[in-house]
Amino acid sequence: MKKSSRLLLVFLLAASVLLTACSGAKPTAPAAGDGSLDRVKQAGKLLVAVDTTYPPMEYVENGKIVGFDVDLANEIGKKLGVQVQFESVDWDGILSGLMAKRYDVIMSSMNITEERLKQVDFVEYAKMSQVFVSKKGLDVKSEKDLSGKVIVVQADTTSHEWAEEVKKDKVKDIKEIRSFKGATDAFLEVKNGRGDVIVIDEPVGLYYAKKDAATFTITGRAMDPEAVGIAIRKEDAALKAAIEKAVKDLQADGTYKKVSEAWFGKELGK
Amino acid sequence: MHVESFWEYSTRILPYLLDGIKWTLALTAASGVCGTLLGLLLALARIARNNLVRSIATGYVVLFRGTPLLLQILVIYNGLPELGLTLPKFPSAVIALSMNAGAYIAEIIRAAIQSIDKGQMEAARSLGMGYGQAMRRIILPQTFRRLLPPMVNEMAAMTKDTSLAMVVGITELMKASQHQQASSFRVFETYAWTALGYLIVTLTLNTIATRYERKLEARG
Repeated sequence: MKKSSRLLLVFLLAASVLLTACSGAKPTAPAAGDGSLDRVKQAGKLLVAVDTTYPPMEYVENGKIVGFDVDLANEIGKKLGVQVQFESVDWDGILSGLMAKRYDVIMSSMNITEERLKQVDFVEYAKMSQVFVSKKGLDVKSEKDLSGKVIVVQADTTSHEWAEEVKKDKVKDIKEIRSFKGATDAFLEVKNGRGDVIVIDEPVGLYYAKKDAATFTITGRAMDPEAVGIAIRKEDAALKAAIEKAVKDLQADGTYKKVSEAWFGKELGK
Repeated sequence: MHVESFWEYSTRILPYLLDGIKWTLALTAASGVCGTLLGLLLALARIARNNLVRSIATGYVVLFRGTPLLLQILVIYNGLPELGLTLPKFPSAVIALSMNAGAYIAEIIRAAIQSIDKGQMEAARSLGMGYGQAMRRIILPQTFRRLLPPMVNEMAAMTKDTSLAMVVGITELMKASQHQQASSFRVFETYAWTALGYLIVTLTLNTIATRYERKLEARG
């Protein structure tokens, strides 16, 4: 009797080992000190997280991750002499993934905010304003036009925060603020008639207004241009410095302008 | 602007959905095997005579059957790194799916074992077999036929549960469909193909199981 129960304990232990073996799980070693740049160079690749629900900044087309941020990240990779590998990550888990060292940086049109700066460092690479994208027949030009409307935003974004503040302090009779995991879901909500107006980064608004002009119109500016940056872990100072330099070089040698014009027909933020 | 016809659109998106199905199948296969092995060990532990072993197994089943799979996936993927264990996305999803399925499968197997007449074990033991030997050679083989229908249920459920793996960034069938739907805004057509994809997987499982069941019946 005793023997068989001991046998079962061994079985249970074996089970847990087996489960780990089954999935080929290996805990990844933490990066030592600030060998951050060496680490990336040694690996020969920079792992970049993007939320692919954000055309034309980062999205999936014909099975490939493309977009302005993607092209620019590839140029940064060239300057650093490494390959760039993209990881598609949901927006709500994108920062915790960076802290968990699942990738080196986030380059996903992330606004630089004080709250985020407490957690990570940023290398600024663009400025973007936020616009109102109204459904056909509506003309939301400014905050006061929001009264009685259903506002749709992507969750945990600066537009989301902005909308909540406006509802709290200025336009109290906003009917509802609906937030969605992905930006594409926000547009779908308005297309299906359940929402009235989307607040989102200008390039994304322009993309949809062009793609589906029968449904979406850009009717006004919600927020003045805000800085957008590449998020990097605070301890990765060497990597941050190298990326900072690469961005400056790209702006100086005209590459940045070229990429920007290819996607927006003009330089971003101007 | 040229609007794609249904067939044009379908032929364009299907290759991407097929890429998604590959991940769905990989997740199902890996978690099916790991989950079944885990379930078998847990089932044996559930009927063990040692109190400690029994209560560990019972606690496990309570915990993993009583909390949402989505929560389990997120804890393993996003929670464990805080404790110093960072697992890549595919292993994270497989571990969560296997551990979850293991709890259900344990109960399926336990019920099957306990449905075998006690006299079988007693007879085997009186012939001089040990507990393990009797279990392996007499009891477990007799449970196969009773196990099959609920196991097929469990595998079908797991096939569909793999769609939750998208939260850790695995582009399985569901996520692949969302990518296509997001850029085309053609929700209904896209999801119709997705549904068909899952149906093909679960129906294939079902067919294999039915055939196997008949074979077992023929043999008696």
